[in-house]
Amino acid sequence: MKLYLYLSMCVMAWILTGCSDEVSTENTAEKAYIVEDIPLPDGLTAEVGGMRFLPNGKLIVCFHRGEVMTYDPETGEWALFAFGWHDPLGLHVVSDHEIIVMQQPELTRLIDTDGDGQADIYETVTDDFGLSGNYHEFNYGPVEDDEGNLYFALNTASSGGGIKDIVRGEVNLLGRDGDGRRQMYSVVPYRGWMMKYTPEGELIPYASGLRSPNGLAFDLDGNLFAADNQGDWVSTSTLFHIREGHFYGHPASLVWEEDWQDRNPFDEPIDRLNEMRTVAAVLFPQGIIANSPSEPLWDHTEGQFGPFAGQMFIGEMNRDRIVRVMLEKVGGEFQGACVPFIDHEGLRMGNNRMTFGPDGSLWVGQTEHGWAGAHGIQRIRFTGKTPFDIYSMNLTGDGFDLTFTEAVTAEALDTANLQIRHYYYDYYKKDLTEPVDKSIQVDVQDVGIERYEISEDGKVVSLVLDELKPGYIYELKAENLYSSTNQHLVNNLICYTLNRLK
Amino acid sequence: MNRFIFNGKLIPFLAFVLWTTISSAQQDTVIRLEAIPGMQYDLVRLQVKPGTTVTLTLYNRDDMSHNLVITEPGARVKVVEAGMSLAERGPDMHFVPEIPEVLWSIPVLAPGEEASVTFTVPDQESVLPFVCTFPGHGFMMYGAIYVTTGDLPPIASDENIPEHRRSEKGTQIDLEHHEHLVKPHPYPLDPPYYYRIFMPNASPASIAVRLTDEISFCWDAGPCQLLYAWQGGFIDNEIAWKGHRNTESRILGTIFYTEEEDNVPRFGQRNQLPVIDFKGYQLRERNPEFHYTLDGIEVFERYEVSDDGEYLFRIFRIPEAPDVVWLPVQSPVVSDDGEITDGYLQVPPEQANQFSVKIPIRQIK
Repeated sequence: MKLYLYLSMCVMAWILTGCSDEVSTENTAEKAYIVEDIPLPDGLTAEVGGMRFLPNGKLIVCFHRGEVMTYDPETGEWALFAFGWHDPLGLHVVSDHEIIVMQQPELTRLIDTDGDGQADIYETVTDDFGLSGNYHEFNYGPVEDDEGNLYFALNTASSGGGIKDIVRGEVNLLGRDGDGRRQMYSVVPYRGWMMKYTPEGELIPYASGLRSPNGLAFDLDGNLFAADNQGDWVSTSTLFHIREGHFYGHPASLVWEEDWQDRNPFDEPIDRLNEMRTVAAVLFPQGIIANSPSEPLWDHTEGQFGPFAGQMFIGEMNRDRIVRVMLEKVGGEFQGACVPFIDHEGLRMGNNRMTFGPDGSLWVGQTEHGWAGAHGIQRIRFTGKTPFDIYSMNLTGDGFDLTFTEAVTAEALDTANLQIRHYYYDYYKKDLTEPVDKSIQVDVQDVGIERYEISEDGKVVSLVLDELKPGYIYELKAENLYSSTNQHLVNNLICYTLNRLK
Repeated sequence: MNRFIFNGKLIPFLAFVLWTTISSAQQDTVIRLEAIPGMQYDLVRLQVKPGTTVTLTLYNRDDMSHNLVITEPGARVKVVEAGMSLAERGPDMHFVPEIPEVLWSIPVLAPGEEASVTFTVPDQESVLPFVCTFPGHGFMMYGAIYVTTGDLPPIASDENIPEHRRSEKGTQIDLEHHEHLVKPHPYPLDPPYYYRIFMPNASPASIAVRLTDEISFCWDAGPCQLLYAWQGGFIDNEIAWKGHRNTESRILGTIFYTEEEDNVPRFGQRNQLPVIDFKGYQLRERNPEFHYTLDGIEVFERYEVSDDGEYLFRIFRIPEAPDVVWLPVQSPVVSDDGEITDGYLQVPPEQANQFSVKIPIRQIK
């Protein structure tokens, strides 16, 4: 590598100082979480595709127009690390001087060999996957497991666009429905797949059936999860627990199954597809919790970011919201609930990427990319004040246990208005006349609460329901509920995906 | 119904005036509005006379769902926020909140759907905002109905419409000069620099390099070779950067050289195309030196313009060439580093660590 030292980029030595935007100065006394703007350099279109912290405490961010930049939270200085990337949508930190970036054509390692703060070597990690030239063939990741394998997800192509005359990889037109103008499609390998890249350099198609998995992450125990976006075959957005060989429901990718032969997966009987698929651990009801969930992030701050250590946060594109997810294993499979975490608190929309800072603050990068969203980077700080929130929602034999962060009293529950509905989202092939983004709740019914009990410490409310049906979402709304410290429950709508009964 | 109409450019959105002749007290008017790609309505300023009965039709030409809500003067943001707060009731209510500030509405329309609403505007002069309250859309997708017989305010400073629509010219940007008008990056655009981006007549893994203020070229990381070189401006990425639609960047110059297909070097036998693998590139003062292997043999390739501006050099390094290197070249390409016969430059392996070919730059006036 010494050979390359003299090649380092000396022209790129612009240190870009943060400017203009003032950091939020609102009164912090009352709030558990404060949202602050991060100042941005002039000329940057801040659509964030990937964002992590380096071991040296600097933030490193890749942007839609191809910049990779670092930000020093101590000094507020931005510096250019690399440029020219093709829609980079994720990055993985190896060291202060080396990162791996997922861009549209390749997974690429970039190295600053002389330590001047700018990358000079751009090394292809893998380009062993297809590219049709369809704009929607976004690539997400990579994330690394304990054995050093890298995982990344390949988006299907959009029915709203065709393919280029020159493509990369084998073309198989059976991977689309008819002329491809209705369903997202996969005509080059391995669109709609989660890929695994081993330390030995082998790229393995790992799991199939994904549509638009804009965000993947490992939980704290090494389980891989990916969020998928609502659309054809995905009636409402999902969180999948990704496992090798599993199929997650969007048929296009099946065309690249080894023994699939010459069938069009869109013509496969729905019952057969339904049998094959692994259902989502959590569903995000469309228009209610999230329309476009993005990158999951587990809270590994051990309390630095408040009371939700070990739980998952996920950004939402269409609202000024971050969603919180709590998972539990029932019958050996993950399922759980989602609830707004922060809403109307000065956060922008377009919340695409998240990472925790060394101080336990949550950094949020935004994008819009022609959809609903925004530009910029914000930071959410925990003030130390415990919010009154639903800490968790756990299935019991005959209902749910709601655990709150603060105690509630029987009187408070009596005056509150607790409502439960159930509904489900169908898995089906949309008719050609049916719009892609239509999302319909099926069998919406109110569910009665037979009775409830409060634990001695007042923090756990056990609800016994009139019925529990697997395959349904149980949506609970707790209006007008106050804690014993007289805090109002703001995030009062929680949705539990009940795949299995206890 | 065809929901796959993708407009290359926006319909010009000059103030849109529609009213019937003033022959009777009863005034009716019909307005047709479209939701179009880019989170917007095609028209953002509508003008009607006070007291007019309006039939407003919304057609959804976009590929996302949209509604339309007309609000009381000044109540747009409040209505948008109320729409976002509907929580679990949102989908059933078409994201239209039940608050007095909502005057009239058209429910959520899926792509390709159309619906109308008929209403009578106030007798007083006023400005009635209209907005899409589908979650996430309301802060970008709006416009205003001007209930007035007078002049509309200057469009450039009209805060009733989205900022990017406050221009008579709309998106008709002078592309040739656009890159100099707007600073597209937080770093100076002094050549050399480059983009990984979709380019015309290239694989989806191409690289566009701005080598000097005059000369650019496209190198393709698929076949690992030069595709073409041009003189003049660089490329326009505006459509690609907006996202959400297929596009290739536009070349802002004149192509003076196009390379033939399958033109990588070969070793020993000149007719046999080797197995090609793109390894990346390294930067030399921001100028990429491409790195690839041919049958496992490492090849490095970079570009320079001669000092007199007459030639574009393709400079190769093959440190461990196992045999004679054959590089396909076509007229008018020449070389100072070996003999060209039958369309091939022949380089002995011991000289392969540095050789180049020269592409004449045709001066285009």
